[in-house]
Amino acid sequence: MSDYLLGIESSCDETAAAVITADGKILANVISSQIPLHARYGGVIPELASRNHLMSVSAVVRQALSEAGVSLGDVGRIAATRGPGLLGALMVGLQFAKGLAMQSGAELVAVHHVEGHITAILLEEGGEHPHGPLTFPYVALAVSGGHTSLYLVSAPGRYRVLGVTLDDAAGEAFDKVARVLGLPYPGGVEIDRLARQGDVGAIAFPRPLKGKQNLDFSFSGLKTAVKLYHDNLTAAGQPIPAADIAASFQEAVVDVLLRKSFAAAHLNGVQDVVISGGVAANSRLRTRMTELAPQAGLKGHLTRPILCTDNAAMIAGAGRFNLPLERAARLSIEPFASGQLV
Amino acid sequence: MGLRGTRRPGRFKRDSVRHDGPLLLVTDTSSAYLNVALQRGSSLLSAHSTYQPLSHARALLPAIDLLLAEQGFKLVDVDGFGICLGPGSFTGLRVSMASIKALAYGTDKPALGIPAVAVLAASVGGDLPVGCLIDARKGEAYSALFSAPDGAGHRQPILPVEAGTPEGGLARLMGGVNGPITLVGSSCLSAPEELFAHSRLLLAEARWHLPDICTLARLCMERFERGETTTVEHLEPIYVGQPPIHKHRG
Repeated sequence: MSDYLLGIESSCDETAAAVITADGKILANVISSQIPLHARYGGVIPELASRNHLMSVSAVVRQALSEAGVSLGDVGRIAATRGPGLLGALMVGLQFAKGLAMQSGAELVAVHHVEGHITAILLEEGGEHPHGPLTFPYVALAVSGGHTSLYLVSAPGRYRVLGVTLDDAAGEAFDKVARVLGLPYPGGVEIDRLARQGDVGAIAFPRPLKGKQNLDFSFSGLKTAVKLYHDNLTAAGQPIPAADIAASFQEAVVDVLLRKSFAAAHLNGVQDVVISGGVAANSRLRTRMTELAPQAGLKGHLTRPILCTDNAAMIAGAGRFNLPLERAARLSIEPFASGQLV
Repeated sequence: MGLRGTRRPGRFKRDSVRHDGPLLLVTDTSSAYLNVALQRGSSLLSAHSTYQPLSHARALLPAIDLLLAEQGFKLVDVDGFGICLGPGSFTGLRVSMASIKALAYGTDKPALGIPAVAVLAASVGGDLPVGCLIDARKGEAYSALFSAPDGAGHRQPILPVEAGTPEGGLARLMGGVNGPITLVGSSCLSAPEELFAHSRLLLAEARWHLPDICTLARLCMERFERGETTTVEHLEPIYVGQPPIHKHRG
């Protein structure tokens, strides 16, 4: 592998490109967000996302290479997200990466999006380590609008799934609850902001699947509980304590996420726990991880917020740990919409 | 409804002698056919057309690789890239465009696109105006009208491309001129035959109902030689109409 890797990410509503060195130093990390485009619809519109990726991808790659001071000819490996995500969106980034690799002769690596999230912390300055340095093996929580999963990371490139969500992803629940409360899209940031004014103990929302041996997640019931609470108050003509609802709902999610993550570490004899993915940027989750991990006899690690949301630095980073595709596959590989990292 | 009488997939080699002039790599994946061609100046060196529904992303770059290898070229030899802009299959259009954007960006060579209706109109012979009616699926069609050929053999646009029902599109085309017109496009293959039973309508030969890669390559070269290229960032498909607004998940 040459010294430079180019990462390309387009699985949902961010077109991103990044350049890193082989030892994980981020030289450029460019993200073109489509949030304003989708906000008026209250969620991601796949066709709009695909169209926007197509019009952004070359400019984003151009900017990343320019910021890094690297020419395409200097890039020895291109890593692109293959899935899971929106097929049409993924196709644009992956096809662009295939074309670049065909032209430049660079190696091509197809990366699982979640692998990017759970290894982003391995990039240079990729995370905050309030309880000491990160060591293998570690338990990684990948939590975002599309994923809520627990993995055992034995070494770079060696992963085992420990638990998954059985219905909604946590970030999806944030968005839906935000909609119930009349907050704009994306809901995660708005709930986080509103919750700071509320009482986390005001409403006792349920903690789904709280058995210590069960490492799977479920947020559908919690989301429904919030909606019922809201609808009952509305029907009774009572004021809606939006800040208390946001704080109590967020606390329930954070409680479940950390409880499961800590249980996964204990069950697997692991000391280190990493949080990653878009929801890992949530301020309450980060605070509680820092407070509670030592009480559970664990070391908590926080992926840097800029590497929590979808980005291409994490894809380039994960691209270091995979074998490049052979010639036939690098021209013909296609994206996939769903599938666990194994 | 299936397609009736589409042209056979195959390879076309019109000129065995290579002439001087710029070398263009041209692609079209706006329909179920995957089309690639190499045009050198006024000569079509080679073109491949294969029926590849739902597999353009898998097959396009290998097809380009094969085409270049057969003709003894490498990507660095290509002077520019041409593409069919659509309208057509949204995903198909984006497969070609993402690929061509990458190749043009990587080689730092110019690119350009030709609307599908311009390719259809230029393919059709005869002295009548040409109406284009492209199957847009879900009971819709894209329509556009071109003039009879001028002294130089060029057809000028009369009505720009619009989306509507096949019946509405056809009425629009018929209303655009007084006399007879030649009708071309994939709706001629997929819409009910009785729709076209009109004394002022002459259906083009079935082989012209999908954009012809040889015509596309020729039109791309004409524009390339006039310097009418664009930047990679500005190369954009023609979608026509409002995008479908279906929310992802929650």
